[in-house]
Amino acid sequence: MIKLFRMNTGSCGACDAEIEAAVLLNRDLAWAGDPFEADVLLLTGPLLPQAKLAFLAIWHKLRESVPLVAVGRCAIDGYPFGQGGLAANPEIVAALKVDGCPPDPGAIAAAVHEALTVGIPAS
Amino acid sequence: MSYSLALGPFHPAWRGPQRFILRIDGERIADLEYRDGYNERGCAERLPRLDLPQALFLVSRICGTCSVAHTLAFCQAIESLCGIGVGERAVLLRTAAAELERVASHLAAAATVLETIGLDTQAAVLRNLREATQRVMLRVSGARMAPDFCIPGGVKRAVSVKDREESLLTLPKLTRSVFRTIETMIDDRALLARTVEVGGLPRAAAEQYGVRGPMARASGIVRDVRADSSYAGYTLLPFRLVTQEGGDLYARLLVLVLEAYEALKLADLALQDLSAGDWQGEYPTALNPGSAAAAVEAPRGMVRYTIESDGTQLTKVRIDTPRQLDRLLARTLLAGALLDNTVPIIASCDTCTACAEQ
Repeated sequence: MIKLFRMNTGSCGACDAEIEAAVLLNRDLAWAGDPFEADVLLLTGPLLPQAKLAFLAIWHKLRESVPLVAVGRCAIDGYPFGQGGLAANPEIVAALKVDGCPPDPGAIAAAVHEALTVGIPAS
Repeated sequence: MSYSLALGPFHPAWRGPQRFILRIDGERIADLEYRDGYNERGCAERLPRLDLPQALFLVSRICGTCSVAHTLAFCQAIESLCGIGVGERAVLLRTAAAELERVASHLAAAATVLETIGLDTQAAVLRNLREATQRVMLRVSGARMAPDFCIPGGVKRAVSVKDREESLLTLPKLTRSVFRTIETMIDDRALLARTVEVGGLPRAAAEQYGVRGPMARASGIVRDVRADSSYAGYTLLPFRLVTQEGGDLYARLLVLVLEAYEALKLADLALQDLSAGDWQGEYPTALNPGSAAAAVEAPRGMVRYTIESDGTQLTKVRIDTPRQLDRLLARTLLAGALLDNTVPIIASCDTCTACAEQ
């Protein structure tokens, strides 16, 4: 069972709903109650200033041990909100990025599986 | 024994970031602090800087789960500003997409509430029904979520004969399944024990706080834009308003599933009645100077767009969206509640920070 912890840093909620769909459609995916139980961390949203602080508080503790998957276009480069995303925060390194607005649940599930084999990139 | 407990901003039981700092005394919440503002993207300020196609795309991504409602309100405001008419086929297609979006949103919210009180089997039934609804949404609008569908004057995509037939086969089955699930919920004693008179929001408080949508209707407030100022296809379809008097977690849960049931019937009827005729819309070549407003009933309550134009481009956009929780409302709902009931009560508000904070 692969446990996921989702961090919404200001997304519209569509990626978050599609992650829920991915968990429903894939029996090997489940939710983690808190980030420290998670096998994969999921980032949605363009890392808005306030949410970014909360995200970093978790990510700094887990960056060495848990891979991060960025889900959705705005988490990658902030489009269409015109700000933020991983492109504006090079200190945050994701194992994988899933493009799409929102991406398909199948693509999200595949990325989660792949993130576990790819492992954590050196930052 | 007294201690503090922080929930969020990221939590599996809510989709948008929000933080609760609870002070617990014994088994109950003595006091709490609610923090929001994690989702402020400044979309309304950004809209006037974009051209119309880009603006419409940004509007569709303000909230992914109420995307059709946002684009519908924005398009209706543009149509009213520029005097653009909409064909009946497009009106019914918009209504079908808006109702399917409501079904998906409500069923997910109800499933989350059931999960938080440990009724995972019933929650899974609702989640599967939601998934089936999203596949119908894909057939009708071209995307599972946040479709590129509404455009001033019509819709971007006509539903094909095959997609319409498949949808009309699926929707009655879905409607029956939701009805059967509601029947099992109404007299489920385990559910009643956990939800009746839990997290009560009396009608007077709901009025005072300006609560909208299903949360208001669960507290006995008879208010729904679809009934009060009929728009899109709601004049053409037999629309039934759902309200409950209880104001508690049970009432909120019932309003969610009953509205999902009604919305499925409306989407079915809208697709049945689909007349031949105009559906295509296009961006107006010029905007009229002046201002216009349009309101729609989004899954979580009224969304209103007020736009101003100088004749060439939008100069100001104001987006009035529902807010399910704020500092004082969170305190009203949760102060004194049992710790065990905290997450179910928060889940039953179905907060959408993406809409509220834009």
